[in-house]
Amino acid sequence: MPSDVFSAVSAAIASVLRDTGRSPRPLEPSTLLAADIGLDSLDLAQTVVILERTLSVDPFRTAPAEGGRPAIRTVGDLVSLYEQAEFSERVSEK
Amino acid sequence: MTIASADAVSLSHLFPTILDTPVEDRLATAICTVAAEVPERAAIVSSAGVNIGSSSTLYQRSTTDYANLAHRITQLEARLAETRPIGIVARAKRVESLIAIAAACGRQHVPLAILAEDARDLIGELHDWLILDDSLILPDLPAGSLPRSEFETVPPRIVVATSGTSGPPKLVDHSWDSLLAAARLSEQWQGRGWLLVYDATRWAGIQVWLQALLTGGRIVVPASRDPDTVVRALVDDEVAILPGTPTLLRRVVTSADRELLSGNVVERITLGGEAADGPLLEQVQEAFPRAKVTQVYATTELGEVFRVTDGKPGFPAAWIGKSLPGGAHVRVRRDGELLVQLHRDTAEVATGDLVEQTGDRYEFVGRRSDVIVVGGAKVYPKRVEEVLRDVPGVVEARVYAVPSPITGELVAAEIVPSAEGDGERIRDAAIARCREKLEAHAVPRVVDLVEKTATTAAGKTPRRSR
Repeated sequence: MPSDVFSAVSAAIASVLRDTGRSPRPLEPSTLLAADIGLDSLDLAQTVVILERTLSVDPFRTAPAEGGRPAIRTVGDLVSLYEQAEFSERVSEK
Repeated sequence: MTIASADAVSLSHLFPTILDTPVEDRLATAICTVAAEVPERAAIVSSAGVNIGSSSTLYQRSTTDYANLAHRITQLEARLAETRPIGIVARAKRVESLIAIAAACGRQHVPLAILAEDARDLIGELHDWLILDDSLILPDLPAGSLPRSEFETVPPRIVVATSGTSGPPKLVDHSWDSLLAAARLSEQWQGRGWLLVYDATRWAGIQVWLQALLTGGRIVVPASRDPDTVVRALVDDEVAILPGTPTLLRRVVTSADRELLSGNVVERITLGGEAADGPLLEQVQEAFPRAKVTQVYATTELGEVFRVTDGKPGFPAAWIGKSLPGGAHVRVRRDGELLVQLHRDTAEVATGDLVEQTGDRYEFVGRRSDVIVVGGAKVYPKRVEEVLRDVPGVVEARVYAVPSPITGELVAAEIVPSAEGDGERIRDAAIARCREKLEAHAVPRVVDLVEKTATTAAGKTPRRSR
């Protein structure tokens, strides 16, 4: 369910902002991670570790699709990355 | 005769007798000499420190006296003399069996391998060696089915495995000479109680039981590494000598019951396996006011290199380039790694330990393999732990690396909050302090509240994953 992943991503970003002394803000799929919320690579790395724990999937462990892994620029990019990982996990279970 | 009065008997001829025998015979000779004089003296106390009032029947304190241990050794020796295996792999779970095997193999000149649990896969490297477990029963072998040891001509080997703290365990060849090199046979150490918290199959553990039994002492093995259990074992069994890792001692001084701890009679604390920092050394001295605290620098490959007895972290910078007691030379490579040459005729070895000069001291900053690399920048976990431990409400901290697809690795931490504190608030304060004191890449990005921090089988702090 897409909305679950979106709320997990929002919660992960909120806790990263909180840990780094910034106040959380409302997020849209189009929100830019770097320009709008100021996430740097360390913040993104932390977000990924949190999401791996809460969603129990690691989209980076599977090989990237043809043409490499798409750039993660927006909240929506992150959401679809995890949605795809969850989807392929379910497929491989069956 | 009670245990206490059996301990009080002084064996003035013990050391002359031991020193008069070949080095590989000494363990068996020492045990048999004590057994002949004070047979009921306790050699090994197992499952010590269990709360007497507790209903747990899982662990039952038990004692093996010298007579019993000597009996097992001589029986096994008789079988070894008949069978003459090419080598014995000790696979005993009980400390008393392991010691009996080692002593018997030594005096019978049979090569011996002592493998820790995580090194069992290496057994394939020891072709045709026989495995001996707690039953101490050698399998009956048809004559000529296996090669036999040439026990009279070859000095008996002893094979031990490295702890695998940095990389997979590997077999290291030793002799009884190198095993006993650090043993101190002086009257002041006779008949004392020794705490064995180390794994008895690893270098550090082997050193403890060898030293204890060569001096007619008593090995006290606590039922677990739980701080209160360790402290009860210290107090109830009157442990005088406490060898342990800084990680274990830190847990004891920060978490054990203070009133219980105040009853200890520890005279000597020997810290090894990891570097100890200044605050820890102070806390240990405060909790054990009568104890002399010594830091031992040793590795499974090299054995003991040097000891620091001045109670300060690291070692004096003046030691560089000088011949140390025991004959070792130490040097620091340009990248900060400590290099050791044990004797003039041996090769210089890179230790994997990084040091840094502060004033007239060299202090350990961590193992090379402990370094966490975050987006190309290095982080020393020990430094981050020092910042965390300084935060009010933080009882203990462990810093380690988690893999990250984005930055390679990320700094992670486990924090033990004080019992009366608000965990979440302590966690926030810890992160805030790190942001204030450390560079951005060194600030832990994963911080978990735990009841106790993780330790390895060797009693050290693990630096990779959880």
